[in-house]
Amino acid sequence: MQPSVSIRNLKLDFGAIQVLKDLNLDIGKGEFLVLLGSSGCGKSTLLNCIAGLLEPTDGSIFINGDNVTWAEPSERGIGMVFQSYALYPQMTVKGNLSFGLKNARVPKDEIERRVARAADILQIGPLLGRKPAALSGGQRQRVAIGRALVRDVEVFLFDEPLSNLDAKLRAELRVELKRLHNNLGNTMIYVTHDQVEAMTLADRIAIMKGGLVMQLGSPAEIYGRPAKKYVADFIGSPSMNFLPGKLRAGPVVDVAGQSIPLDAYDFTRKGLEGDVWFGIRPEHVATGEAAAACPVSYELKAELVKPMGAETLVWSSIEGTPFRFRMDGHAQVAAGDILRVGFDPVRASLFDTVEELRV
Amino acid sequence: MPLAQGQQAWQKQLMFNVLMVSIGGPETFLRLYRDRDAEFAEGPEVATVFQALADARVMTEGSNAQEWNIAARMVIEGQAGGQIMGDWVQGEFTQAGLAAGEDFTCLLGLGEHEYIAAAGDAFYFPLIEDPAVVEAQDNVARVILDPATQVAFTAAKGALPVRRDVELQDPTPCMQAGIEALQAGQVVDSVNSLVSPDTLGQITDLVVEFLADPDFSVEESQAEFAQIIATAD
Amino acid sequence: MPDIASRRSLVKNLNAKIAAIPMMLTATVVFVGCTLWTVVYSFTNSRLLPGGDWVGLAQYERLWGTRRWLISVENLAIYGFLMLVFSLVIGFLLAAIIDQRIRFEDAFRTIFLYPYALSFIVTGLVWQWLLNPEFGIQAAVRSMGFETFAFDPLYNSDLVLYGVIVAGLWHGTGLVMCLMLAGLRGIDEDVWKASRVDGIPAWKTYIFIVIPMMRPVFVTTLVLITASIIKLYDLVIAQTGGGPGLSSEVPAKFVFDAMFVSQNLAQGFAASTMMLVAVIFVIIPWAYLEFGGKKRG
Repeated sequence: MQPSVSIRNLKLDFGAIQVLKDLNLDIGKGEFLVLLGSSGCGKSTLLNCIAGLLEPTDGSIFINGDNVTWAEPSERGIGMVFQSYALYPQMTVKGNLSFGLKNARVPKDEIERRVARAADILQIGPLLGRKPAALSGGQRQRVAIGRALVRDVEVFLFDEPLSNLDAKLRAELRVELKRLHNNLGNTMIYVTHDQVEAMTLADRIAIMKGGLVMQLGSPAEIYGRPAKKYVADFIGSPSMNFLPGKLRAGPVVDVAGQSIPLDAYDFTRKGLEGDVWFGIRPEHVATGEAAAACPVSYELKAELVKPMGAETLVWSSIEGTPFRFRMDGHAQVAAGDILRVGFDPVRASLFDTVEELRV
Repeated sequence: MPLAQGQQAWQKQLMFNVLMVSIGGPETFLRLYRDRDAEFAEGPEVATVFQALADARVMTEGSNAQEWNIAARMVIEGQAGGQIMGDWVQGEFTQAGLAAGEDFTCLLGLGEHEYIAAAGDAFYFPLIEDPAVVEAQDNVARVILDPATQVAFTAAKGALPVRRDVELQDPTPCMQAGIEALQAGQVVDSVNSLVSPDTLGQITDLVVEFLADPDFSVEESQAEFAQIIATAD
Repeated sequence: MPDIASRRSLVKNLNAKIAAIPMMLTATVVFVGCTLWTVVYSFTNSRLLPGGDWVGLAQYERLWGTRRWLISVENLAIYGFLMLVFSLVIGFLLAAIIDQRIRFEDAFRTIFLYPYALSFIVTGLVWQWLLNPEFGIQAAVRSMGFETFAFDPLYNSDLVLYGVIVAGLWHGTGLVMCLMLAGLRGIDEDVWKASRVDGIPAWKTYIFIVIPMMRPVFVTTLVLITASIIKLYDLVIAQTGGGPGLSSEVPAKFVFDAMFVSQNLAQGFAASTMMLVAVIFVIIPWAYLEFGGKKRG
């Protein structure tokens, strides 16, 4: 099947700075792709290139099989939602939804029909006569989505649409966006720096750094089998623990005075030996009795305890390397306590120390 | 062009009142401004003055200078035939290296009524009790009116001295004519000392507008002038 | 207990209120007081010094019967209208051009704003020379061989006002441009992107979206331009002296001449009172629209 959006060898320079470096990406029809990365990674730049708001230095962009690299944004068959909503403040909600259509000389009854449909889907019918200043943040964002919706297009682009909202509203709208995607079945490309947003919304996530895609995969893949140490570090909160280790034939990895057998570990590259990073997520560390049952366990002193309600985060260290882990919210633990922790190497991630790629 | 004329309002008013004394004569001038005879202002004597002003309007057409000395320059450079101005304009001509009587000449009262409208600037001193300051004030007054000062100042400016008892060093023919007129008593008060600044302002506005607008008729302007004289103070 | 409540509100922020007293005194005594004084004395026959007898509306009757005043008012109306329209239009267009992130933006901005740093006197003198047929544009074009070329607006009663307007525009447009540019730069870039995605042409985006969003900037600019129009005086003095004839006279010059040249204070007061009345007639409907209809939201 032909991809909905495909990006070929895309490059973009701002003067001497390369913002996008030879980027390739295929996005399937009806897919929800999230571009995730910290600020300055090029994710918004890439989205603006797809929208046609920035001209790439080199490479091409195809939407539905058409080369749109040099097409005007309005002719690409995309709709876009912005972080600041970018509503037209002097127009009513209805005016905001219909202004682009009027300008494109869409027949009146067709405009009415599309506006009514968008209002119905987004439940903003009662707001149509209001101006943006009289709307709440969540309502404004719905209108912004509606403006993309009435364009009747294949591809929706979202540029950090929820980051101006408070946490509770953000969670609500996240669910709504997911539902919207399920109902409409459009291709959606969504830029965010919030990994929770990415994990909950995405069919696939593209982790970006320095103008390149670090890893492209489903949330489960990104979380469970990060391809690079950067990705492993970026996803998850608190982030993965990295312990220096030595990999040798067996296969066995020596970490902090213990030899950890890796018979069950799913190797990406077999037969490698030498220095590695041994990565284990805080939530995959067991404590107490469960720790004793693990193939590997250590005695640690809790240095800092952060009760979060549902769970408790404990800061500690193994031979000087910081080590974080999660405990049940009911666990009675205080700073200075000695705890036994253990983990199953099957859930670990190993990276070489040179290129920091998954082993 | 025949006549150079600066565009500033006071110069136009000056020309008008020169015409009033020279064409109308000193009696006309005084009957208007001293006696404020509005009926006389509507009469034929004043009509000739306004007719003369209408002629001047034609003769000064295209005179685009603003300042009086720029207008004088037009005469100096030969672009204009003459200029109606106070005697101080001589200084401009001599500065340009022209000699009075040879390169240019003066026509007192336009050759009709050779009268001089005399006006002077006044110095006012505040009343002060400190004898040192009073002495300084006296000194200033003495220096200003000292015959030597008057002679030197007059020579540079080209105007007549405020004292009649000083002997000018080689006066130009222009100054000579002025002195003779003064000695013969052919002097009228300046319009500034006869009517209030308010009245003079109204007259000035009328003259300025008359000179700028070729469609402004002699009869109309004379009627308005008579109106101003009737309410003059 | 309304008594205690009002006392408490009086004592609240007492320091700030004490600190504001000098400014409040200045405002009431200097602005309101002097204005009232001027209005009161416009009903007398004061000459060089204030005083004289009560003459009722006589000064106003004389004022509205004076041709020079009528010409002044008409001139100010034409100047004001054209100045408002053109400085807003040209200022906005220049700002829109510079907002395209052109090269050497700073240089252009400086060049356009520079005339504003000059006084009206200098501006007027420069344009008097430029428009002077003897050594200005006309002379320059003639010296290039076009012997019959004629361009002397300042010496033509019908055109002189437009000569003054050109100088006024040259002087003031740069400031309008800078204000507009600041306003344009304050517009969220996402709005521009949204309108491009919607396929709205740039000119339509300006007219229907950006300009309505810049309303506060326009109000500020309007106040500044209007103030400079009402007090128009020095430009005319330097450029035309009110001429040729009376054809470029303006009310502020009439007031000055009446008070200090003709030494007729009361007549000048009457004229300045009329200027005040005109300003009030402009401000009241505007203030009503701006502040009265708050409930609309």
